[in-house]
Amino acid sequence: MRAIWLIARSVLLEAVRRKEIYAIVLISCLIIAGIMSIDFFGLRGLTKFYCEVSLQVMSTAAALTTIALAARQLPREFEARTIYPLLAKPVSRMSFILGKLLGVMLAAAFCFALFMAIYIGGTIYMGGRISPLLILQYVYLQLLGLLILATLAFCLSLWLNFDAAMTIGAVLYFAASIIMTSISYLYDFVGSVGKLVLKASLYGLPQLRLVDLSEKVVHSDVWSPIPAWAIAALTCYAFVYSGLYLALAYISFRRKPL
Amino acid sequence: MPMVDIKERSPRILKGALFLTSVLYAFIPVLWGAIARENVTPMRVSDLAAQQKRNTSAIATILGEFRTNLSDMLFIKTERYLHGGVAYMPHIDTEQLASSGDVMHSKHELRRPATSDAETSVTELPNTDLPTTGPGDQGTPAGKEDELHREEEAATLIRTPENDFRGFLGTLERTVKPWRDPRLPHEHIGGVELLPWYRLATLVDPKNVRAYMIGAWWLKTIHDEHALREAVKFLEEGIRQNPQSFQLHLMLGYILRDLGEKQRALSAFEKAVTLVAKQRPPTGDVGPNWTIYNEEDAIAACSMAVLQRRELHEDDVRGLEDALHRLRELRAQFRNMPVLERLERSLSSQLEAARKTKS
Amino acid sequence: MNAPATVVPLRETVRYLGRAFFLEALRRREFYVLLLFMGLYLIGAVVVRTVGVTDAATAAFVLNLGLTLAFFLSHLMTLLLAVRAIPEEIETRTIYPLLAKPVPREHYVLAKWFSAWLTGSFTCGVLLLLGWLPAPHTDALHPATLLQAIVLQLMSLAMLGALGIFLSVFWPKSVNIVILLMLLLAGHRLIVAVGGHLPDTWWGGLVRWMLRYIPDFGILNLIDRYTDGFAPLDVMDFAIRMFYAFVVSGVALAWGSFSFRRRAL
Repeated sequence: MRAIWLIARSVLLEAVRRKEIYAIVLISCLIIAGIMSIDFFGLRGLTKFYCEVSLQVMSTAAALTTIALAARQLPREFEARTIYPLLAKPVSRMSFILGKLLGVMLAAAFCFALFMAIYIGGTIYMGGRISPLLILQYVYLQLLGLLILATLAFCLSLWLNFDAAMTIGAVLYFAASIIMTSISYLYDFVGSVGKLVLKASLYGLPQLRLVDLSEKVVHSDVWSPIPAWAIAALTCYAFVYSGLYLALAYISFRRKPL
Repeated sequence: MPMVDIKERSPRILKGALFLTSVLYAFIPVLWGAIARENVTPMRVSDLAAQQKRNTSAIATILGEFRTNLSDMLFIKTERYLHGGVAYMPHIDTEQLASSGDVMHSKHELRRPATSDAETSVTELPNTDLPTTGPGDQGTPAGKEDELHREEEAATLIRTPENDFRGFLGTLERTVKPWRDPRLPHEHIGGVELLPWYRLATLVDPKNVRAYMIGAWWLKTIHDEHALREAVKFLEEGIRQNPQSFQLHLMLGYILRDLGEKQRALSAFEKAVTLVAKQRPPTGDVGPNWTIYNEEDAIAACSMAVLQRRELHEDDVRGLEDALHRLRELRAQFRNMPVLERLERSLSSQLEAARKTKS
Repeated sequence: MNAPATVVPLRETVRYLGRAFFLEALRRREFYVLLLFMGLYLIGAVVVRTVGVTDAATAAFVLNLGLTLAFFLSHLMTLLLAVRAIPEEIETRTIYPLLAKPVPREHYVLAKWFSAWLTGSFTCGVLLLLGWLPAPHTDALHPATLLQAIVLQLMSLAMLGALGIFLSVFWPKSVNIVILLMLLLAGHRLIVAVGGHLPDTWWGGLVRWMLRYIPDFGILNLIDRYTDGFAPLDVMDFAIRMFYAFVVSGVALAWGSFSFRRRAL
């Protein structure tokens, strides 16, 4: 346990020290501030636009940061040969991967916490309404989504190069909504084989659309928080996929010649 | 690799290139200006019917909110915001929305939903008994009070439980995403929250007349003097960018009338009529360059130019006489506008009644 | 007496480095990414075929989407290659034997830029075919407009590559990627939106003039013009746009080479 924590801590400290997270948060805030500096007819209380733009920019920035952080963790250890002294110590490969994952997730959570503080501050400043439980659920589900992306990036970074791992992760993130909608829409148009392929894709790919509560947060004047059973089901759903990707990453890591 | 002696020459070439390109770059704003003058308005913004078609197509439905153009994205945003985030198959007729502010479904073009009395189409003005209010005046302030419309069923993008092959994933999607059973009445929520999107659309593309129209429309529904003044400023900006758009002058007239600026409102309606005279086909036939909505707005411009004259006079008889005089001029000018004929009959009988009352 | 120093001529440097860079890009990294992009296009084509396209407006929409994605992805590829071309060689120290050949630094910069542009153009060509061929076509489209759109996009790739190389001399990779992506996606809108709402005063005019120094990729994008069925640009307008891209690329490369020459390695 201690080994996992030490590795996680070093990943988190490195991410914070490199100031990349601050740079990403700063750039995202500048984009949001730039858009919000437009005079929207001097009307107060028009917060849906702010909520939508902010959540979109923030979740995109957090997702890309997490994918990039996760995809570079393992290959860089090999390239810089820093993995050898680490594995020479009594640290199992599983602990090593778990430590790295925990570190990436802590960095992602840190990044997202900064974003949320800014988002909530902005909403209150604009006179908007905040549903605390809905926001909490949104953050939790976003972190589940980031966990899936991080484990997928780990897994891919052991098979492909950084660029390819990053691209697949980004495509899966950006196309999450399109993938699920198109599977649902196309189902009525195809034959029995097509239906089988679509069903396989539906369960074979992690449907990140399911862990995105942003639309309900934006229209929180109409929607209330989702029930606890849905949160529990989504937690299981995310853990199944991230567990699977982590297991695949572990197998590849074990087989990888040092 | 072959080697040549160019070591000395190289920096001189570099310095020359540096100087030449820097001098040319100093004049880059001139080049930019020359290019920008040549720009044409993309058809995807100006052709409203095509926009409606492509955004309601299967491919567009699959793509959700993903668009390469802000104008198309606004189409989807309008749908979503007016339904509290619920993703129905695109069905709101945004051309009608731009034209008169009516939130109508594209399936029932030009047909009013049974309970939709919140907004009055400008095209029906002449049928009313000398209306004193413009579109939307009887409506509830959007964004403050929601209204329920019983509409013909429009499917949701997310499948209903009975029709879903996805099992628990479908259930989760219906729980996490904004979803309402499509058989329930659609909840239409005011579009005031859409205003920043329309402002952004006009900043990015000042030729987007429809964004100016709908934006001004939503500002008008706030029923507040500050918002009306902002709407005037917004429309004046739109007119500066699109001086030939008669719809913008028409909308400006409505808003000035709400502000009680009768003379300025009349000027705006008359300007709209002048532009209609230049753009309308002689018989008013609908075609690719003159849609049914253009014709409706043209009729509204003529009607309002007539009716506004009446309001300028304190004496009802003089006001009616002035209005009738202008109406006859317009009837002579515009062929095939039966609405004006009906309006003339209505005004004549009212003038007669007013004269009797006066005497 | 010193013998005259001999260096590798520019043509040779470009050919040698360009070939190596292009082949390495295809063999190692970017090939996977290109394959992924191609896979996305094929899935898109299958979806379009399955649901069908019923009217001209939707056909134009699909074509517009396909071409926009093809051009955007090739820009992305060029950008990623350009911003890391020089810093990576410095990091891995492979630049030293090259410069010891001797290859003048400005030749090296030009060769790197050309290689990035060539790989980006290759990506553009492949994706363009994948995006254009399966998309439904209507008679109302002008092939000459498409040709102009492609040529201007190639110029746009050259401009982006040059700016990427220029910025990479000064700033870290991630910062350059963000700056150039923002320029690519929002530069034109920023110039139009801010410039169009400035007052007609002397300072408003000055700011408007200054804004036009921001490299604008939007004026090199004729995709909407093509898919909306407009006729090609007249020769003069087309030439001005080409010249614009030429000047921006030229100044970025000249200053990039100059700064790289002065930089301590």
